[in-house]
Amino acid sequence: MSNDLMGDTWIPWIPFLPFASALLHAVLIGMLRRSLSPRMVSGISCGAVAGSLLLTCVSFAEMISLPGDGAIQERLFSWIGLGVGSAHFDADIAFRFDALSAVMCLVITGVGLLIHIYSVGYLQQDQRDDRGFQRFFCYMNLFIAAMLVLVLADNLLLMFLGWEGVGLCSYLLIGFWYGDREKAQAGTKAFIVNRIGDLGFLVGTLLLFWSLSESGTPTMSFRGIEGALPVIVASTLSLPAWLGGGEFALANAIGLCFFLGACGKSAQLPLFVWLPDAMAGPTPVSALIHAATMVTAGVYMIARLSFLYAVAPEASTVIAWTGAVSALFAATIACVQSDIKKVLAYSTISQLGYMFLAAGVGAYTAAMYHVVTHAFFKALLFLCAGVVIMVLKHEQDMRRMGGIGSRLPWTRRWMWIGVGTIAGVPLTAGFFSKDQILVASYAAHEVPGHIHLYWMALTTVALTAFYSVRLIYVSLYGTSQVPAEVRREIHEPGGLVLWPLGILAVLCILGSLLGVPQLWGDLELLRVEESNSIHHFLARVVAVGEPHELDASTEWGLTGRAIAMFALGSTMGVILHLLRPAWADWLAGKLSFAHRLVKNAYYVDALYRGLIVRPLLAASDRLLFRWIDVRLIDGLAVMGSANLLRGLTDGLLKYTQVGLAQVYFLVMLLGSLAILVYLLFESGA
Amino acid sequence: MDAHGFNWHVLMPVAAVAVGSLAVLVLEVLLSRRTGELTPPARAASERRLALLLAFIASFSLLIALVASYVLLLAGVDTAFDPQNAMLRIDGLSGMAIGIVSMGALLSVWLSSTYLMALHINHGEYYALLLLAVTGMFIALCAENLMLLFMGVELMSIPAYALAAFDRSKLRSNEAGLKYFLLGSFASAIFLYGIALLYGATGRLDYAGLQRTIDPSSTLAMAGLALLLVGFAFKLALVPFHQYVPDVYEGAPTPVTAFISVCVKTTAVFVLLRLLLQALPDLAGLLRPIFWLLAVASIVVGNLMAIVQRNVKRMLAYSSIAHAGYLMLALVSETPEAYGAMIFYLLAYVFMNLGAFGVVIALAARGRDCERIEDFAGIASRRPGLAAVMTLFMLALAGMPGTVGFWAKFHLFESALEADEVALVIVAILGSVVSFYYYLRVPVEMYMRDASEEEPTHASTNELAVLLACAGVVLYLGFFPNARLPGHAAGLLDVLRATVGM
Repeated sequence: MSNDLMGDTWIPWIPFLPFASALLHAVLIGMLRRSLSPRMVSGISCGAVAGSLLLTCVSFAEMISLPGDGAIQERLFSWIGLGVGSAHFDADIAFRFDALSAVMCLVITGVGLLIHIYSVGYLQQDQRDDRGFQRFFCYMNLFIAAMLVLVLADNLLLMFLGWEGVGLCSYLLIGFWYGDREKAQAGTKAFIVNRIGDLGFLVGTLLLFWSLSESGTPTMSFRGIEGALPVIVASTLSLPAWLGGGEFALANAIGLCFFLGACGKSAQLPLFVWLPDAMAGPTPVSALIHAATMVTAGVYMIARLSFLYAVAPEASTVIAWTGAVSALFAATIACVQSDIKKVLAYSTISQLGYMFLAAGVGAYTAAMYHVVTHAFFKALLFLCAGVVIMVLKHEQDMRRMGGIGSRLPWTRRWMWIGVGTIAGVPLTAGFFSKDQILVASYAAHEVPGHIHLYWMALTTVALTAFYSVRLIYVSLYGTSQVPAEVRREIHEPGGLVLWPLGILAVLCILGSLLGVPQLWGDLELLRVEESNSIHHFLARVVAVGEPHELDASTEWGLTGRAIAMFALGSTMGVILHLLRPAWADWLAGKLSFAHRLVKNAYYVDALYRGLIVRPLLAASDRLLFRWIDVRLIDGLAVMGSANLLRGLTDGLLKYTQVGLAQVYFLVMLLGSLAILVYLLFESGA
Repeated sequence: MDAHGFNWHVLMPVAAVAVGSLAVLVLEVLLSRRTGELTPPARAASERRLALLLAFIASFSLLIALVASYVLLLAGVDTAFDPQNAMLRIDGLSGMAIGIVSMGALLSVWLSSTYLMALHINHGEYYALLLLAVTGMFIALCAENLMLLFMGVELMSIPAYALAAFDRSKLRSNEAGLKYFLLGSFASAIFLYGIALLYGATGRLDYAGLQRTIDPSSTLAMAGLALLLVGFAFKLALVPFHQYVPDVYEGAPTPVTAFISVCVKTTAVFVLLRLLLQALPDLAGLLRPIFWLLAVASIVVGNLMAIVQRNVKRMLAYSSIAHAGYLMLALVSETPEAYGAMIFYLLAYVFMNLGAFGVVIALAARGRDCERIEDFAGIASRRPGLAAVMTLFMLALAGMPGTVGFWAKFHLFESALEADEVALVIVAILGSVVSFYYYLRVPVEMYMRDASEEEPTHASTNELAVLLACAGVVLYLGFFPNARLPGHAAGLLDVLRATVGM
């Protein structure tokens, strides 16, 4: 890699700045029990993230000036160094700033900074005590730092460190108001469900390590793994007899394990259940962690390992199908939820499904493009929802909203832009990114059932348009269900809240420039110099298959279908929620069974509770806790040994500290005699 | 250079503390006369100034000793006084030992002044006695002759007895001093008798001569050796020669306890190490079971007794007995790695233990010690910083990873394992596990119990400086145990192993 820039760069400072800020807050409130003034706290925290953003931009400029596909590499120190057999294994604290991590870093620090600023305004409205304010920014900074470590990591182990770090922050922030039992439990749920995914990540890592050390080249760095790809491709796993025996390609096994990890982090079927509950956290947290950044970590990881997935067709097929089903499944649920944040949560699952669909059909750059645009529009929507929740004094139920749009002129405008982008109004960022995914899945002949995938994705377009139109109409327009005294007090919050919204809205629109499809770019009307620039940029790092063989007319046809679906969905939304609200209730009544089913998220939660959680809890409680832990471990082992020692000391040794010098003399004398006698006998004197 | 080819400059550390001690004594006498006719407040202020001056002189001479010993270490000096009739030797081992002892003494001095003023026992002799004891330590550390060694040890011990009884108005302090003196004299007598017997058997007092002439089949020599070992076991506070330790540690003024626990123990270990390496290398197999038994007894009794203590100073006393037991692992293993680990342990112990005692000192309210475990309740809300560093020191003493205490134990146990002392290591590890119980009780008390309604005290700047320095070292060496010494090419652990010079 002669094009790389090594050493003496700003890269380590990108995650270090927010980390230092988090550490400062932690020491202050955790150890010294002092809290700074809110102004200081927000200054330090936002400043740290702004510093990271600035350094990211500087590094970005530095990186694109490197020749070829150069990247910036910075190795800080050796973290784990082992000799495995004859080979040597090293996992360094090393960062790599290449095209993929650059895009992620820009999103994390950019959107992160906007949400930090928004949070200052948001929390000022909702301030329970000063220490909570500082605690919030401590966690937020820590999250940014962990997320940056995740995307900048040069090896899997360091990535796992960031991976767990963001999980921890997510847990802490979901349960931020830990006094509320339900919210604390939501945090716990997110944590536990993510553990299942992390098990997949770990097993994948271990499988990789095992196969690479078998061949004598143990490595965890991404480029090392890529270099050893022939070894992985050549290896197979023999399945145990009870699974039917036979051989299974190792690349597929590893790919599936990592995908399980991604499912957990990115809330895909079947591990999506934590994300709707995660909405218990403060709204800026939902925007930053549970929409814009952390949940896309799974997509990032698959893009990072795209060289591996490119040789794991079965694993990729599973990813594509999981993604498409999740997209459709979550979109239906989003259509009937009444909690504004839950709508957005299911919408996030659905959009993440799109990304996995793209990754599964080999369009990794399209997946990353959707990550970027989704970060913009979903953060914007969450923050707008946050404004609504804030002015309505923590009301989240859309059925008790409505008719407040005129009171919130700017929020209303920004929200329209967000809704338009997610629904896929032509020429917006969301339209292009979704279109790329649709085209890619249509053209992916190597994936079994790709036409079904395409149709599921297309149906989701209509559903997306429907629920986003519903979101804005029900919450801002229509007959107001807001109590009159609350409505009188509604006024738009200050600039700290509105400016980030505006910037995000601008990004939603400008984001389309990153990924104008070749087809559109070639039009005389637009005359784009380099179409789909994000694709070409990311192609330096991410695996790219051969370009699909669709002629222009087919592709225009596909685009036309997408626009038609958008039109259908949004028209339905307008009719049911603005023009004829009564029809919606009538429809819900007619389809009451289906409605109930969807409204309760297909009872997946209840299913898990009945099949897994209850039996597990019962077994844990009756057997593991009451018998093994309380009686055996605590009673016999812990307390038993402690009581034994205590009894020994109390009963015997205590009497040795009599305080009488005469006794001490005697003991010393006896000791001396013992040594004397031993030496005389043993030496044979 | 004199006729013997001895470079007198290498005695700089000894000279610095000896001169410092005399200077403190003379200045105290000269300057305190004049305060007689002053009004009480003015006299208090004047005494305060004087005490600070004396503390400054004491720390200055200790600082010179520290720097000088470091220079000696860097220069790799190895020189002996009078090679024909060896008396003392300055080499890497004594340089390192002097460095560690003067560091411990320096930190103790900084911990003393505010405490002494608070207890109204702020007399100048304190620093003179302390420096005199340090002088004795330095002499003992350099000695390679039993007579000189005995003189050094006595010069160390007698001021220490006086220091233990320094709080004259308190019964407990008097009791501590008297017990220390009586039992110490008993041990000295045994020690001296051992020297006499050895001399009678071999006709030699210098280590090299002893090594050539000592004969395991001679009853006289073996009896002398046994008595010699008893003397060391007493100074090291090994079970069953440990019983004075809790009483003395509890009764003595806390800075004195800190000084004794760190410096006397370090000196005893280094002196014993030199004796074993230079005079008794042929008897290693014979002595190993003795050290083994002393180690096991000290670890077991020290840790178990610490569990039931309700007084933090007493708890730290028993824990210091256990730590002495861990140190014996190296004498059982007898490898350069083990000796290096032992010196590292001593270095770590200086900072962990002085830090712990430093917090006890800093918490001492006006005229009253904060030493019962109940006194620590709720400290975290009143003095969060102190509670945080105390937690750090307790974790370090227990051997928590991330602190220097972990690496100290790790290297010691590792080298013992390499010497196939599996049973001993198991005992030591179990002892460490038990120690978590009593060490963690202090943080539990500080963080999880409600505060008693005492007014908050304010630690003085010098105490805080010592605590911060100790905490810094405990953490820094906890993450970088083989940190490179300034001016030295090799890492700390490698330097320590090299100083043993095997």
